[in-house]
Amino acid sequence: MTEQTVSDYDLVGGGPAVARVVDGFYERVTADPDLAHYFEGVDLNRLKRHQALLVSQVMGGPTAYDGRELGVAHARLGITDEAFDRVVAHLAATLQEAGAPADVIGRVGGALGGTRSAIVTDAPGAPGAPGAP
Amino acid sequence: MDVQALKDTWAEVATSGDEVPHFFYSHLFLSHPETRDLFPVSMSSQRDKLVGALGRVVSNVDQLEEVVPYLQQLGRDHRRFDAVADHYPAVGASLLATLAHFLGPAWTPAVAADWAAAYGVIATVMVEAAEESEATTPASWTAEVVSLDRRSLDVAVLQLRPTERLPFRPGQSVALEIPSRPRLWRYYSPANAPRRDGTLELHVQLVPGGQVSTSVLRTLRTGDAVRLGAAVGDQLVLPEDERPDLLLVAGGTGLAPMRAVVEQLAAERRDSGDGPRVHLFHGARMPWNLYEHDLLQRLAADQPWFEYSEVVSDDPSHPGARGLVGDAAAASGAWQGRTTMVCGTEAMVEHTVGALTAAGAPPGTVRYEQFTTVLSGPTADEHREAGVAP
Repeated sequence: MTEQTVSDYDLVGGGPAVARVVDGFYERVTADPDLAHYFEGVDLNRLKRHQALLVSQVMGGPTAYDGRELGVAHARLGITDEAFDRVVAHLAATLQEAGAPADVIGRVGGALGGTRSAIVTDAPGAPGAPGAP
Repeated sequence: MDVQALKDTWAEVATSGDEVPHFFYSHLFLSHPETRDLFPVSMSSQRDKLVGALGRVVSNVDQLEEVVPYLQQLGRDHRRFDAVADHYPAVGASLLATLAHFLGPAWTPAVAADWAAAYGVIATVMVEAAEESEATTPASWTAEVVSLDRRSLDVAVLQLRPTERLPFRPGQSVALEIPSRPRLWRYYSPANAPRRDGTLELHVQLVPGGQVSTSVLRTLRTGDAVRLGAAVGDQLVLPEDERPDLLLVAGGTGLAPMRAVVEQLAAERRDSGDGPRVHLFHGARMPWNLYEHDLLQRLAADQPWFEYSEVVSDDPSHPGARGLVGDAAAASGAWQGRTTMVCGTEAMVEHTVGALTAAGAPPGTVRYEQFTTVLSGPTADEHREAGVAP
């Protein structure tokens, strides 16, 4: 890795760009009939604010995530592997539309991939799933 | 499997242009971040490579028989990417997600099942060939730069010595990676028939702005270690069991595979005293890029079975033949009763094949590589850089 003088956060256009991508992303996931029920009764503005902070933290921006730990936040939602995959596809579509550079996407993917095990709870063998140790 | 549905849906997806590879790579890197390391640091040259080739191959699964040998070669070639077998499912999943995204409601369960099945067939052919080769060959070869000879303003000749023997047939290509441009692989054709000492000669044409070719000339030094992949290609290779008379038409460093074939035939003739007639046309923009002039003139003078013609396109003061090499080859009539092999830039190959066809050469007799139709072949820019046929 070469020395990085500009953070990914600044590279993609900082706070306003992140806010646009986060908005576009939630428009997509809440419009997906297979995902919409996860967001029923959820305060979307609060969710978007948390997400923007999380993205800022992951991409080397100035602000840091102050919400609940991800595993705790998703624990009672019973999120399946299929649902996680659909969210990945919506994020890919959002980032493609935003024209995000591949190396930034690669690093975001690295951060995201690590969250799957915390977020997916309704999978065979996942922690908390029936029959899991 | 409804092959027509595969073709129709791929044609539909392809209308979205650059958005398709962008979505594909976003999806691949988000869902399988470990695959990011397989691709160059800068992705701009990668854009339409993998996903475009994948879509074409998978949607033409009904012609699988024809491309099986080539897919097997590519499967072996892909071993130069570490742990590649683990990545086939990831790539397949992202391909399917990409199709689903761009097809919307047209992505029916039936279409999805056909695409998954077709991808499975292709991936299986490649993985099996890769696994079979594990017993006999390394995943990639390290080779030492024995010499680097700047033959003209635009052409460098590399002699490489692989640490282990790299099997190839004259007319094939190997992927090359140089230390200063990690993961930017380019295909080059060895210009020699296999040698006893295992060394390979590659001809590198300088492409203005070409990331690899300029680095070969600027940064590569004798003693450096480069990496090579397994040999690929079947169109510029002589059939096992017959030796038709040949017309060879080369543009620039597209001469390399032709020279390898000529070397092979010269050696066979030394052993058997017999062999086909060969007429080689070499075209270049400027006369100094006819970089094998001396060698080939000498061979033509010594060997009655070998004819050599030069054509220069961009130098009005050139005393010899001027024009495009494809026109000269077509006008010569030397294609009559012969198998013709063409190698050069994409534009050169396209023009030459057109000129030969217009002159009356039967289509089945004209051969050239079409790397862009198969998985992870070089892009047009890289063909230009490598001087191999598209």
